[in-house]
Amino acid sequence: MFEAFTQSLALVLTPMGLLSILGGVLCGIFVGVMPGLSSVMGMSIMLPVALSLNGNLGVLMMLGIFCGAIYGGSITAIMINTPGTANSAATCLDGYPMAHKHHQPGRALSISTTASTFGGLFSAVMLLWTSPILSSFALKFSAQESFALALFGISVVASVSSENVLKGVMGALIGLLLATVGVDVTTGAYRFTFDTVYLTGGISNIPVLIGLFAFSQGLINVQESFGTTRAKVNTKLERVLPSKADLVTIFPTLIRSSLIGTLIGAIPGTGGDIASWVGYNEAKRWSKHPEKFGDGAPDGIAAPESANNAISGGALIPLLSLGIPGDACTAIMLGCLMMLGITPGPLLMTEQPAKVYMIIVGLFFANAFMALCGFAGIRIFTKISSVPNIVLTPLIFVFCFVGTFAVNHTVGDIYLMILCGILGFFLIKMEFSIPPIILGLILGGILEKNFRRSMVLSGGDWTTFFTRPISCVFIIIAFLSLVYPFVLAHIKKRKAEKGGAA
Amino acid sequence: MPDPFPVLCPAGRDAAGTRTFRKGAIPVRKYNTILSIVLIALSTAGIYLSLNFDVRGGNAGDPGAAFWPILLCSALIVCSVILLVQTAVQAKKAAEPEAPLIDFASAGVRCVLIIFVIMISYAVLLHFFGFIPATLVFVVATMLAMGERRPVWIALSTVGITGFIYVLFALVMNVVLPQGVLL
Repeated sequence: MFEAFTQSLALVLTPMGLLSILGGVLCGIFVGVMPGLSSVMGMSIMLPVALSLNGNLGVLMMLGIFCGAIYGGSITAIMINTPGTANSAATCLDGYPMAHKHHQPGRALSISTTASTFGGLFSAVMLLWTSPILSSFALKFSAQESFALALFGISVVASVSSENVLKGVMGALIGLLLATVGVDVTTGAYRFTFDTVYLTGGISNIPVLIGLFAFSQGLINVQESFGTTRAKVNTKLERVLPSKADLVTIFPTLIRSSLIGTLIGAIPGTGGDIASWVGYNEAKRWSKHPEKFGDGAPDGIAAPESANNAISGGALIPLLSLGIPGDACTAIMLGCLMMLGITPGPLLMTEQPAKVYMIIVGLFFANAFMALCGFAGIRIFTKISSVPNIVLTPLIFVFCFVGTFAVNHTVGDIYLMILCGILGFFLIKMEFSIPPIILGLILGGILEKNFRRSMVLSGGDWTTFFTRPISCVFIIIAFLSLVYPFVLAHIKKRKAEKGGAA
Repeated sequence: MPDPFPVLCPAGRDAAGTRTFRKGAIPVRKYNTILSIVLIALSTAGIYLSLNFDVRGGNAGDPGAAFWPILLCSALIVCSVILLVQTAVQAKKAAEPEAPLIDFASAGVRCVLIIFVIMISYAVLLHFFGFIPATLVFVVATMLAMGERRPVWIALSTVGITGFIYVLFALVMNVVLPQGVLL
């Protein structure tokens, strides 16, 4: 294990390795700062760039974007009261008052930078500690368990990410169906290829990913921000580094929130937005001065920021040890790793431990660079959000086109990307959510392969999924996660009717 | 201030003055119904296609190449039917017509529809003329569609974006850009 660790250090600690992380972090912060550009969008646009780099460097760059984007969102939350990403919505509550009512924007930003870095580093330590344990437990998994686990991952995301669970399930099914296109690996049968060469290799993930996450979001931005201009930031910062007194005050909050963030991140279907709200509420509950929350309390900035950055390590725990992504960002991460020939899962830890440690070490450095960039460049980042939409939007669109083309060098991919983007625009408008579709597409192959392998192993016996305890438990949780919202709605209705009658 | 979108987006009319996209807004329930029906049709077609898959002997116990797609299509049909029923029940309950989901008459949506067309043209241009000429045209068209009218801004952004992407992808990252079959 120690050998693998030093090996991974050698992989990361090269000039190009560090440069990739730095580039990723800068790009992530940019995406995070701009309202309307989400971390998912940034990761999908940059995925082709990452893939064009030499294998390991691409992974490091994606980690940088992942961390940087979560942090970047807090800058706009504090400066203009508009969270750059949904993760930082809770930061507005205290960050904006501190910056404007109390005229301490520098203090607010220094606290958020410190908290973000602490949360990220804390979760990286947790990842380093827990993923080997989980992996060794998961090594006993057979095809049945892998199937149940993937099913669990998809159904939880489908259930949580949509307002309407039915639409979440439908999205996941569409994604799974898209994954069946191409040559069937087990029997060699051609499925849904319509005798075209283009579809024989299956639907490639990248055009769908970019179309659904980046392109459609760009279209939505065009529609919603049409004819509006963004607020300009002209505030002078009085300080960049946090004061000792602030550090002492927020320290307990940092620990608590980072732990909350890591735990929530490790649960599939959740994300930074949930973590930051839970972190904020807990900080308020534990505080000696809960009345100060909402009026620029330092803890009110530290809590959501450390919680949402702790997501990064937490979300990688199930991804690296079990091979299931818990949200859209980790789904893209999984896609990136698989395209680079690294298959996350229990076997990765035993077969390629250096890769696992490389990701963990990369996460450490991504957070360290985030702090460096944050403290050194915060004055520039606050200005970035003034870049007008009118320039940004065409740039994003061109990025989508070039990135899509860069992977397979076919124009067919570009048409597929446009098609997905237009469909995505209408689907988002119809209150569908995109993550289940992507998760279905990326996990579809794994799910079907393990399903059929279990059937072969059991000689075609259906009950095999339920007679094995672990797989049975996961299938039951998967089922409950889908049924629970319906039951909850029903109970609420009954209560309301009773209340009305009484 | 004069009308900011005098050329491309006057209300409901395109540059030639003919009426565009003013079909009126469609409520979300109607969209749900349409989508359910489309998905049911597609899934049925999917099942039909699956039945004709090349069935070659897999291992004993393997349900075969067609089983999984048929399972998914059937599940999708079930979900679509539930959505259809759910939507119908909601429609019965709701007394007043709901707010339109996508207001095709609004300037933003019209701009998006124009951008759809620009996108497809861009893909075609990329295919035939390659990255630089196509992108120059594309950025100008998109900025015009979004209501930008200042020539200096348009010129600078166009050159800037094209140059930035070209330098980043082609020179720094060594990524292949579309070459254009005609050039």
